[in-house]
Amino acid sequence: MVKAIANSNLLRHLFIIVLGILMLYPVLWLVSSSFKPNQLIFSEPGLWPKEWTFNNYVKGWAGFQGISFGQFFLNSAMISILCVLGNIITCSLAAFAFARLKFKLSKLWFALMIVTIMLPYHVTLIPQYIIFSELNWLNTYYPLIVPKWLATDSFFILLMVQFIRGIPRELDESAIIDGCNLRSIYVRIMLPLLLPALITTAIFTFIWTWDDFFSQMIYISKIDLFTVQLGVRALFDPSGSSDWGALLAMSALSLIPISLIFMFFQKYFLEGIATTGFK
Amino acid sequence: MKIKSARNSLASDHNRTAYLFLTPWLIGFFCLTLGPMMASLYFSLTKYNLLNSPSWIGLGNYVKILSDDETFRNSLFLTFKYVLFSVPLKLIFALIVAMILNKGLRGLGIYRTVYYLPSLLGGSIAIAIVWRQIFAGDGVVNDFLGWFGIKGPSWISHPDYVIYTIIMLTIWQFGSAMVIFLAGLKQVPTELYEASSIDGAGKGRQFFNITLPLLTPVIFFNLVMGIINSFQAFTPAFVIGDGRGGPLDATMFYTLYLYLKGFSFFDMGYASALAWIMLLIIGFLTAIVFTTQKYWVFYSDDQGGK
Amino acid sequence: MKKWSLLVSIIVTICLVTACSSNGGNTNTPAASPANNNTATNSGDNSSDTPEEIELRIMWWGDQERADKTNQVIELFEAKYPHIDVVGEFAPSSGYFDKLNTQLASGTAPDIFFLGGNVIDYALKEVLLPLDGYVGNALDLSDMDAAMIQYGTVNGQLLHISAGANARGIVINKTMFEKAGMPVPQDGWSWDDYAAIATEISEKLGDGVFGSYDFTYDGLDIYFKQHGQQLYNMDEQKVGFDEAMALQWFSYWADLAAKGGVVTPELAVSNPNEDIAKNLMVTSQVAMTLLPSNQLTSLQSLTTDELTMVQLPRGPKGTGVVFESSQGLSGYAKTEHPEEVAQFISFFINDSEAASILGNNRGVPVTAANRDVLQAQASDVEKIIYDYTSRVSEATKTEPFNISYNLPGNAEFEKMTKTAIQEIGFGRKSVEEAVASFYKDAQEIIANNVTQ
Repeated sequence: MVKAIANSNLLRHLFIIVLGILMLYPVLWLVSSSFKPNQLIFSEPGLWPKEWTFNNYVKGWAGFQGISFGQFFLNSAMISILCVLGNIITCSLAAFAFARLKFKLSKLWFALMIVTIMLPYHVTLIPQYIIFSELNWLNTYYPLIVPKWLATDSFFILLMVQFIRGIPRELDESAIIDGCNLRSIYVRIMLPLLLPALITTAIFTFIWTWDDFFSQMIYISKIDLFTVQLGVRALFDPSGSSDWGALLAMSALSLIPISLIFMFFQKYFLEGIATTGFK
Repeated sequence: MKIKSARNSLASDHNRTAYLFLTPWLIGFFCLTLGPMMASLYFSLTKYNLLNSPSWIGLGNYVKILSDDETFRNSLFLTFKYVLFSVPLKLIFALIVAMILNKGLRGLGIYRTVYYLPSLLGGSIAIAIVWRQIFAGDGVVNDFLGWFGIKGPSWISHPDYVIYTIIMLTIWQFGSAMVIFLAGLKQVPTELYEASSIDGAGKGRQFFNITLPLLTPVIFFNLVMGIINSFQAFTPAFVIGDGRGGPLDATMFYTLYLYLKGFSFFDMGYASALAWIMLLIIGFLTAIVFTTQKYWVFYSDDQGGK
Repeated sequence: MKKWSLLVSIIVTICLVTACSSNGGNTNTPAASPANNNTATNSGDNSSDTPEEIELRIMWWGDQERADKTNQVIELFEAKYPHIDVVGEFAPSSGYFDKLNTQLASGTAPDIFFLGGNVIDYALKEVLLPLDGYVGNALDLSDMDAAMIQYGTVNGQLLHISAGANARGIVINKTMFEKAGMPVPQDGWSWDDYAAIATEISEKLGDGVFGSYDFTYDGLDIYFKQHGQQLYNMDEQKVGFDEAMALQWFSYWADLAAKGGVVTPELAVSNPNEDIAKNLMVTSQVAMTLLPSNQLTSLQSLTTDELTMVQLPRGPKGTGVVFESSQGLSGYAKTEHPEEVAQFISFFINDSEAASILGNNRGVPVTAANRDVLQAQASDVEKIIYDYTSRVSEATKTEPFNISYNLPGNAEFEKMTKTAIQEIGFGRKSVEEAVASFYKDAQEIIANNVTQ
């Protein structure tokens, strides 16, 4: 099947476009509904609104208690960027150590690192919350950001370990012969070669932090510290009168920054950075 | 003599550098992860209602889970079924799309973004609203089936079908796996393809002889993470189901059951025991996958290195 | 290269200082922490020179509109009590109780928080502040309905003050009845009438239209009271009904479903009664259902059909309906400012200006004076609600009923009951089998949750 598709350019285009439309339908529904008046969202089946309104965006953007959604966007962006930096730096350091360095207890630490991914966070939430509350970090962004600077997202460590193991060892061994020490191998050889994995990490960290609701909800109570996700959820109340229009409008808006981030970074996948530098 | 001391200094350099590089992770592990993990292990041996101090009951929770808990058995079965369907399907789908999108097509950036958009939505309320709308008894999917004279059920509310809707949702959000594959494909040196084209290898042979082997570390990663993440599937039960496991426990994933026990039903001791049983199961499966890797995963750094 | 190792060591140092400075001891003993916490967060940073200045934290759930209203009331309160700084925190309803439970477990809960039908769960775990000592001075309950005070009193202690009342009733889609050419039902009907009407209107209005939602769960306690039983016997801490009674009620709905008068189980899952936006009455697919009176406003705002409310069909002892609390306020047992907590609660339910800001957002006001304030400014839909609730008050004068308490382990009981109903609906179990395990599980849930 792979072969058949790859062989025919036309077929390939057709496949991508049809599939793309199918993939996109729910997103289009979301965007188009955000321009519909509240009563028509669930009763009008078509994608093209018969009656256009921007009111959902105006109402939603106004936010609450004098704090607009703009502030929530800034807050989310700040948290996400700091988390991205943390993950990129600390996870790549740890991954380099696990994949390339020979050190005492390396097998034990590696196994423990994998195990930490396996325990669902619901059961560690309360003890962790107690730690952060003892540090007086409630209603701050520290509980959301500091863990990333301590490489607690083992997912990314494992990801980078796999990528480093795909890089031929001759590259760094020849560098050692040339007199580089291990630290400069990490900076000068590993980081450039790891760029696809680093970008992947950046994209995922940004998006997952942006989309995260549970820990933001648990740790943040003050409205001026609210994030986009908290703002969106505050428009939703299943037992009362949810403002569906504003909810969909703000959900659609919240897609824009993460789509842009993705669009911006994904173009690096086009360029063969990994190999062209080293021939 | 000289060689030996050089080796020693290299080894100690390795040791020092490794622990320097691992410092953030080690701090995180000891300060933020290990303590809470040990706490949950302790809770699992207690009756702990969250609001009052835990009281020691030994293995009581484990005994009850393993001997007399139908919901546990059902949710474990459901989760296995989910893992079995969603992990391979999602990986194959992601790999095919990544292969196609890795070629030089016009407008690729747009396509990639379009394909990634569903994953951007994550588990938001918006996506819950949309999916329920599409898969409801009178939704678009059944309108489509209606053209062929098929009268579809309500895909989100019949206990026999809702799991397949969730699997569909999971496959639909294949973007993350796709991105990892794309990054992996970028690591394949283009020279290898050029060389094999000169040798007259077809596209199919190139795929099986070059691409697939070089991609195995990434496939391995996606497989391991797919298994772990699917076992911990939680949000789909809120997106498609009611977040309470309904209808008829057909969306009662293992982690959802654990969460309900701990937070809604005030039995954190029991929930912690469930978590440790799950950890053993996932750990066992992951260990198996790890031991198989020497048969099928190809690491460039093994070549000639040792 | 040197820069890099410098950067790394700086990061490492920062992490060391921030993350590990003060948690060495407590990571290993989180079990002990819930008991011996926590003074730092409550007092806030009021290190100024006026010592009586204090900070109160209050938390509620809901949407933006409720947040705006509640914050306005907080401002009013602060204007009246300038030395008290009230910090409002709100969580979206989807995560409120997770957050509250986490805070309670770590000893950082707010001084005041809202609770709903699960008051008993929190009361039995002794995390709520007894308010008895403040009644008459800081806490003025003189104008509050006696039944509401009784509801907040658990095991002889006043732990919860209702912030809004409602009465459940049958919501009727009048437009659908006109379309079917049938008379709109009136107060005083019987359960046989209800079944006959539901079946008839289903038949008359054709495919995809149903007489009634299946409210086996929502009406459980009402039906028991109509037969002189109750859902939960708090004094003896056990179920307040027998299995035959439960079987009778479950069978009623199974029979009605067999006749086609009830929403199919699939539709009940995708469009549940309690999800107002998805409620099938909005789309003229259901003619009758059971809902709390305050939800009529939201429901009516979503449809052009004309809706109204009538009393529940009568059982041997009457309708079984009384005013009940939709949600209310409780103080945190470990608060440092119990007196101010009482003051705030008192203000919240008694102040007339506060009442006109809050409106019916959390239900009808619990004091007679504030009900008059709101009745004067009522809209058309609200008039229907007030008309209905005054009929309920009249009825309770001749046929009094106790307020029903939910079972301890309310969430688990709800989940279990709804599963039993679906097992019948989807044909997985006979009514007898489902009810037998329902009855057994109910007893088990109580036993698990009352013994500490």
